[in-house]
Amino acid sequence: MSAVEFRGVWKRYGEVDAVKDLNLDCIDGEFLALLGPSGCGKTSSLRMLAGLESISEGDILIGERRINDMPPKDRDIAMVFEDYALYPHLSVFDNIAFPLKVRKVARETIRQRVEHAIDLLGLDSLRGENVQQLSGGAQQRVSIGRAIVRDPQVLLMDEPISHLDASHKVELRGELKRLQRNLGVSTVYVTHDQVEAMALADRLVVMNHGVLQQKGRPQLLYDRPANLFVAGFIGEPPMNFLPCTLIEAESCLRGDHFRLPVGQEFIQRLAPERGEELILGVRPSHLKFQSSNTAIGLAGTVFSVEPRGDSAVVVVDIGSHRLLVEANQFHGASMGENVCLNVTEESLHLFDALTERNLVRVG
Amino acid sequence: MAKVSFEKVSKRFGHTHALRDLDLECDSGRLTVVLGHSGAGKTTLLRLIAGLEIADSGQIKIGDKLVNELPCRERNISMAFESYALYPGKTVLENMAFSFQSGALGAATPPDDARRQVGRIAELLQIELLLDRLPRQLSGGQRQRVALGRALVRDAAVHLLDEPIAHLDAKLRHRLRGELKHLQIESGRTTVWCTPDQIEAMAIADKIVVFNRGVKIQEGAPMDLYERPRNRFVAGSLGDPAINFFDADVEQRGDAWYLATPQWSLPVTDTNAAPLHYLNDHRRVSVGIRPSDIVIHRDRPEIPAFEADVLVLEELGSYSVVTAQVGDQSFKVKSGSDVALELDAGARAWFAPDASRYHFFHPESGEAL
Repeated sequence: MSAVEFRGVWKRYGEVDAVKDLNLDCIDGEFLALLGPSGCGKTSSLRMLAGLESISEGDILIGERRINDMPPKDRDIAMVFEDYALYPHLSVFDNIAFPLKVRKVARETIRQRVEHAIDLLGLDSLRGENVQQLSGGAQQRVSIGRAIVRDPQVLLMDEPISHLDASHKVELRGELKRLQRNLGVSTVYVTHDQVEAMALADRLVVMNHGVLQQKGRPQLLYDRPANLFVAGFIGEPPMNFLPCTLIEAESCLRGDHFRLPVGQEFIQRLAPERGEELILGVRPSHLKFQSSNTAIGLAGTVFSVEPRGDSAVVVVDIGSHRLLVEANQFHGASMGENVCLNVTEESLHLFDALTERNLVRVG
Repeated sequence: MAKVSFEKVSKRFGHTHALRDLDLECDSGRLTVVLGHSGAGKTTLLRLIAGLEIADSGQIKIGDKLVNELPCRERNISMAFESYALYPGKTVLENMAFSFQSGALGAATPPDDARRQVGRIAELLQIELLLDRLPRQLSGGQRQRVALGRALVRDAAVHLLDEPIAHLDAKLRHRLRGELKHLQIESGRTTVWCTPDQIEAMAIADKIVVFNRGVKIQEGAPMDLYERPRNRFVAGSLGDPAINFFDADVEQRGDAWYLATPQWSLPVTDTNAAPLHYLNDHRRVSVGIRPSDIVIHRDRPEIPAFEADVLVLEELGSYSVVTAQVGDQSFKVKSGSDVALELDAGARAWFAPDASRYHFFHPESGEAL
């Protein structure tokens, strides 16, 4: 069953189409992430779902009920904001109880529901604490507690951890995922951070300029990006792109300062509707250093080496292109050195330069 | 080109010690990165070099010249600080070329030369199409780049950059890191760059100086700090995901060394165990092991390993991060293998730490053994 469904949804602000013909669904119990750069329409979409923005066209369903004209409080949703928006003068218990108190729910029911939330979120030892004294992680849990205490159909989150420093983010990310799994609540989560989205989501929806680019499991979008935008947006370090053309007679891809042989099978698998101008895509982790300088491969010069501890990003100039190579810490490359890079055919992505679509078909 | 040195420099703001007794040398012609959270003292450090703050005690030298009393504009430094401070009535080009026009570089530079240099930097920062705009017509990220560009165009003895690429999108940040590093190497400018981002620091620094609450904790080349952190704080500051810490008892059985917890006992290689030789048997140590130094196995492997519950699996494309728990200890593993992909919350798996990659710290002080 779908917890949430968008059917042909548009959002217009005057002349500007912020969201165009959006069709998506969030399956019951699923963690769905809306991912894209600022201005892509993800926040507008979330706000339409919440009832904070009107829907220009199309329908939004929650639990299979059309909610377009329903005020936020009747939509059976709960929202967690970036700043948690906890009531500073109240304890953990009272913060979580608040939404129920406001709705004049019976005292005993409040107690039971709040205890349940506290138990699920591991807040028992902190129940009486003033929320301002708590760590970021604890505050996040209280914020979620307050959201789920009403047992909403859907939990909405708008970049709840984007303001944190890197190490806290990593920590809270894992906790958030675990909590959502334990609670089993359908969650729609908005972020511009693709690492965060990859880590948390059961399924990702990538948007750009108001248009849905691709949706599916994170690993699918990573392995088989539908277009140039998704390919370049997902993955850290980002995918390398090299403009080229396919010389079928020579069974190779040719570009500025490189010539990459490809097999006939590879060529057969390419979508027949394609232009002359192509873009070769290779992920930094799929480029390997070759010990010997053979005819096959990409030859270039090391521009810089960026150590990362357990790995390194080696930046290599090939013709006018600057490629990122993800290597282990024993790569031995140094600035100015001439190197040769190898790549397997399976790891090649090929995009039409005009339509930007991925030409490599699955199977 | 000049070295910057701090000798026993302290600076207080009211009751807050922004910097305590700092001894530091930023080598001539090198890129020194000051790494720390907000409040660590990074900005104060830069402002002291610039002459925007006066030290309470100690000596600050640029080259061999004592500059404590020297006014800012006589110090031959260039700075790009967080408050962009662009001239609102001047275009991007005029803002960036300002130092040429004002004759700050001595004899006035001919306009062609100035424009070319500005153009080059503008192109590097991807703002070449904005040269005729006024600051109010720019986005925050664009303004940040103009301020940075203005600092880079100046050919000063020391360049001071305070989180210069912080608010830009990931792709641009990535690109600029490499470009700015190269520019620094080509020009040979002594540069001091502050950031809270350890990936950035590792990527570009000749030397990283780790700060915490106004105190210099450790300095050294990136991989030196990564491999030989002098305490838990530094160990936890570099690497993503952060290093795992747990307490264990040290056991010696004959010539072999072991770490023991209530749930498991694992060996340590001879070389790695060297710091443990000075401890008595059954001594507690604080152990650090990096997420990338633990291998996951579905079934019990031949090599020493322990069993744990998988709590979370995060698939990040080319690698996965598994959060697991043994006893009341949770830890993270970074794995490039497919084994991680078969796991999910609730599964049990075997974890084999690399016996040569432990870091040992004093359980109370956190100092490396």
